[in-house]
Amino acid sequence: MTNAIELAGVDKTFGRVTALRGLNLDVRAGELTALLGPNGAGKTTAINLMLGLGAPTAGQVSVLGGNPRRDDVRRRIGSMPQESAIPLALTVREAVTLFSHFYPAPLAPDHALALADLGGVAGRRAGALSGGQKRRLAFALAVVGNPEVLLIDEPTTGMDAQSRLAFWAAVSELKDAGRTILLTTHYLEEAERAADRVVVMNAGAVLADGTPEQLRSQAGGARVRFTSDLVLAELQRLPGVDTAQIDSHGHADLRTRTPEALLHHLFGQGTPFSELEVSRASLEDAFLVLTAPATTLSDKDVIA
Amino acid sequence: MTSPTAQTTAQTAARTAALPAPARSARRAPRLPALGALALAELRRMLRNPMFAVGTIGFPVIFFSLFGLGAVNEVTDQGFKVGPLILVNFGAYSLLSLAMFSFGSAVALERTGGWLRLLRASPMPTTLYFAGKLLAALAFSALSLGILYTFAHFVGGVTIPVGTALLLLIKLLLGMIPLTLLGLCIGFLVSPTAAQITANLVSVIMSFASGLFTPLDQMPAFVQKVAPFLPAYHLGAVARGTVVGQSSGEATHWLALAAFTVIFGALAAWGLRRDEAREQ
Repeated sequence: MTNAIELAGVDKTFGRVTALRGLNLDVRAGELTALLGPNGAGKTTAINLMLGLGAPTAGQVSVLGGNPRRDDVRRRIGSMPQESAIPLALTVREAVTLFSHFYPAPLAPDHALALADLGGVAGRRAGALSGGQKRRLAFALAVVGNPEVLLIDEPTTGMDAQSRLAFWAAVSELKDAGRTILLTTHYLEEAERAADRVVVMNAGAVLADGTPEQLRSQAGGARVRFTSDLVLAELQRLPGVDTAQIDSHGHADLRTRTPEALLHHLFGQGTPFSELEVSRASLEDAFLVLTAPATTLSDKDVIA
Repeated sequence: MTSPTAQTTAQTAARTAALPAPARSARRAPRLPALGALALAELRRMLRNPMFAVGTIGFPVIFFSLFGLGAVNEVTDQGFKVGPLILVNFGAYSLLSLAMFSFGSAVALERTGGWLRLLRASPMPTTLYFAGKLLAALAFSALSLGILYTFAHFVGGVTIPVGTALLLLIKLLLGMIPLTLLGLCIGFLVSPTAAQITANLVSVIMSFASGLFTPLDQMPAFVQKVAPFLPAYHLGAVARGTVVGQSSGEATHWLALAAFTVIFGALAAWGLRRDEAREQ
């Protein structure tokens, strides 16, 4: 599969602040890639470079094989920025029609409105829309040029459940049509469900990169919680335990890749325990493990 | 707005079939329709904001009726009728305030609200955004001047011959360009809240100090000294000279307006680049 976006050894500094540090990131064509990371990780800076809004301090940025600062590349990119950048005095349809004039082969404005599920409010002023509708208008502006690559920054922030549903339906339709989508989000369960691939950034560089399943398994396959009389040393001796924590009430919290073997052993040795809870590690667990400050990672071997 | 899930699903199914393959043609979107769409959007923005129309059409008419109507039939020491002179002064004031609000406070909002950034990420050159704004401002100015003249004509009995009026319109709109650039400087260098106040202050204070509200010879001496350093003073002088048919000295005023165009243009360009660098 070819790469739609390639960032190679990219540095970006603003004065004395380093936003990106030797960032290497390839986004494969036709995939939905979720870019995750704590605030200040450099996600938005990376997207701005892919949009050609700025030039890297060092390294190469290439989108669809060209420099995104060139108009012939830009006309194949759609952008939905973090802030709801919409002209408040225009109606929804007027705004989308205006933007369609900037592209050589745009979608019909009504098509873009339908994709964003805005058909019902097409005649309403953008300034009078709800927060979620404003975000969907920003999405309609991003897709009306019929782009091959969509760069979406925090799409669902401020969206209600209905807007979110409409948004993900449209995104999966675009993905089915072969479009490349890169999005950042704080909602990890959404990324887990929709993304082909997850890239975790921290401090301006890539920390982890893989399918949601791969990242989950990096975090330790499962979380086993129960209450017993076992002390920490005994918990750590249980088979297959990667990490173990215990609080003063005897609540144990274990991470293991083999929860079945662990439970088998626990039953076998006849330890009385209660409040058993077994859950698969979520992407959120993986994310927290990956982006946790280094000091608390001392007993972890999960970083690939 | 509610849409049942069944309906959403049906729409989704319909959309999938319709999504056309992205165009890989090398051609770019035609510039002229895009410029027209940008100018139209800008005009809509102006017409739909009541406060904008009040500031750029209402105030000049109100000021004219308060300060001008009583004196339209007087004659100056040089033997010129006062009516047309007052009228063009308030016309120049109208252009000044339009330039300050449309290019000052509006740009400040569009810049910080992300709209300008989104346009920058689109394949359209940013110059088209400014060109569309300028076109809309000129069209709106023509409308505003037309309303002011209609009011002065029917209520105050002020008449300017058609030929002179058209020449005046062209000169006023041409002379408005440095004012729009001054507006852009405010838009790029001042925060949105401050830009609103700055636009107000600049348009009122500069109008007074340029002799648009009161003849300069009735103003304090220091104001008379400062006036030549204000673009609105030269625009007013060009307009008054045209309406009384005296073009001597007009070249000097145009030269001054050209100099302001260069200075404000350079400052606005610097502000634009500073803004781009910050957004990156």
